Amino acid sequence: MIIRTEQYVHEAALGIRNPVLQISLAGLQERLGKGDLAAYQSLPEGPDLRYVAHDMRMSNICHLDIFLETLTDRIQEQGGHVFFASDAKAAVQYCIDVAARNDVRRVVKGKSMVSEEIGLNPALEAEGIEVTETDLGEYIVQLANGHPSHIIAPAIHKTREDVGRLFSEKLGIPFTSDPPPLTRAARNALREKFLNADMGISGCNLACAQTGHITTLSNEGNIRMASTLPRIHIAIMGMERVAATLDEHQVLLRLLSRGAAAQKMAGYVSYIGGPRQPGHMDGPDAFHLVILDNGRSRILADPEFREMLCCIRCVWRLNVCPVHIDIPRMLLALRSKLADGDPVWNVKRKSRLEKASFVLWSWLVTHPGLYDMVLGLSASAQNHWLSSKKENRMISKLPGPLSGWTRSRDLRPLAKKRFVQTYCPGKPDESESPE
Amino acid sequence: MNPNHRNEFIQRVRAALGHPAHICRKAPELFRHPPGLHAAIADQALNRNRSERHILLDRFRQEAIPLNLNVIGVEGIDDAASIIVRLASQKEPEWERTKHVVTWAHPLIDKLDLSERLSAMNIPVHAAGMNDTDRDPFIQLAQHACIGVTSADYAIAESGTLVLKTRPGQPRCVSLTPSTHIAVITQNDLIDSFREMVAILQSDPAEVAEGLTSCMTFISGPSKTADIEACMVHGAHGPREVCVLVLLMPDQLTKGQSSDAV
Repeated sequence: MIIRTEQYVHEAALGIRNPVLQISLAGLQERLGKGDLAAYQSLPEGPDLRYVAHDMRMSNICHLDIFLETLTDRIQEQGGHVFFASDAKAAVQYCIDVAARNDVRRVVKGKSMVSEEIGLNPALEAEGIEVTETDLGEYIVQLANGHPSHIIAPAIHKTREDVGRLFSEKLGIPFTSDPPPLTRAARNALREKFLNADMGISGCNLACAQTGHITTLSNEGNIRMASTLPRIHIAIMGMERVAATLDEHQVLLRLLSRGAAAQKMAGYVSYIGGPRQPGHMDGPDAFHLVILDNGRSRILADPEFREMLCCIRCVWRLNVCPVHIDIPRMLLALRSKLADGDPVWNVKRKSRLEKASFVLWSWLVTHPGLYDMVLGLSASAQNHWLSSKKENRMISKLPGPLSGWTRSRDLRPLAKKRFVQTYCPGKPDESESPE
Repeated sequence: MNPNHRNEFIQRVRAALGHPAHICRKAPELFRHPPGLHAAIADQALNRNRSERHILLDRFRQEAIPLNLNVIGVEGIDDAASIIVRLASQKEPEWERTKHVVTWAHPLIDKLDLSERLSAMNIPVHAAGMNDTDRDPFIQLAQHACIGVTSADYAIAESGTLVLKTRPGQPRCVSLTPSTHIAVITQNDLIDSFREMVAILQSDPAEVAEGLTSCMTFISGPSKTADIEACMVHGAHGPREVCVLVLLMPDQLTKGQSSDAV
């Protein structure tokens, strides 16, 4: 999926004006954000288990070489194939090769963000392979030729009427906007796809090194279908998604279920360790695990960003992060690397002028007398840049090197009276220098 | 020599972590547990007295309610069988005009004698074979079945979860493709938590010898989706209904308990 900046601005404007999307997103946030926090409270170990999980994940990441090798050895012992892909291209090519060797024509997919990352669907389709997304939300988005708008709610931007019109056009059913019959129509259409598929592709939520299993989570059961019925199953995992032991794994799994959907356990969880064994009457004949780097080892090498790899993709953020990643710290590190430059990431300092301005500013704020003078001058000069609209007296365009600040937003004008003057009228001025 | 690119990949990871790229690291201590910990937890889980098991069943029932998971206590195998017969007679076939039932080959399920009991209603029952090697014929049967009957290795009270390993005669599709999934378990299969489950899996000699198998599945209620305007609908791809029949231990039976609403 490629999103260009200019397209983004346009899409964002459309999204902000879309009432259905706004209401749905607010509902999702309200329901699941708060639900997650409540779910953490109900943990038998208490909500602090998230801090324990953070330590577990850091240990997983700091011994990633050991855990990936153990996982690989176990899966190979159990008859599975493991492929290590350094980048998206290698991962995609491996999937294409497996498909070609087995004369695969039809693929069913479980929801997998890593397959979006590597652009798998268009690559398989270019080989003449039919690829069907089987998560209901993803299926709706695929039928509409669109892109998922949210990891756990990919079709949240579609109204029930949108889905009704789409299904009546593409699946040939009479129009209805009632979710149960719409779901039934998708169930029927996709059941045929599952039964006729030559290959199933899924992601991997979290692997367990000790036992040599990957786990997949879903509520619909589509990933169970895709990993049980076709003759071949390929699972693609980001290399960071591995837990050491079964004990750690069950802790992370419970936190992931709570974090993703405020559930005590996801509706379906499958521990998959290889192809079907002698006497097994279903399950794939061949199981392939693709372990993907695609830039992750560069993040791993950076001690400031390494923590990012603790993420288990529950789709929420700081307040409800199930493994309590310190996101503000990383955003600051990111900002400083982008501003100051970083040879490891091949980033050069954007602007010496900006750096100089910040040095000047940090000096200025420690000298209150001067600071007040500068603010006073700016406040009287700002009228020149204030927008003329009465109801919206904002600064829409700053001159010269400051223009970057107003490129994508308006700034509030400086207040006529300073905070101290407004709230501490008894102390008109305390502008003596501290020195 | 290295067609899966393992070595270069792992070397890159080691280098990123600041270790010499070419020296294989081992750390067996990372996989060790405090000695006896699992055994102690498993011992507690597997040796509950009757009143403790009764509390567990209550908890399992409570957790099952929001999941839309139907939990029914039954007095004995005949009781369980008659509930299955009643369900089979009530359910409408979803995929075909006629109804059929698929089951695991499992000591508890064999005792239900469903083939005999359902033959009067002309509902064929197909049990998975123990020694079959061809996967397709049974999948063909299971894909359009009205009811699938399995047992479960464990039922976890903290989340209303069934745990099913995959074995010969116990295929995964019986709990997946039929419109209704019925699991018959005994009250001894109930445990409290996932913590107990992993302790048992790592300390019980039979479990350790078997491992997790090629596919161990957790099932917490029927298949569901909320992808259309966040409206909850049951029966997305998997079973639309799941029913757990728990064979109660004799002294816990109270009158009427076996006739909970179906």
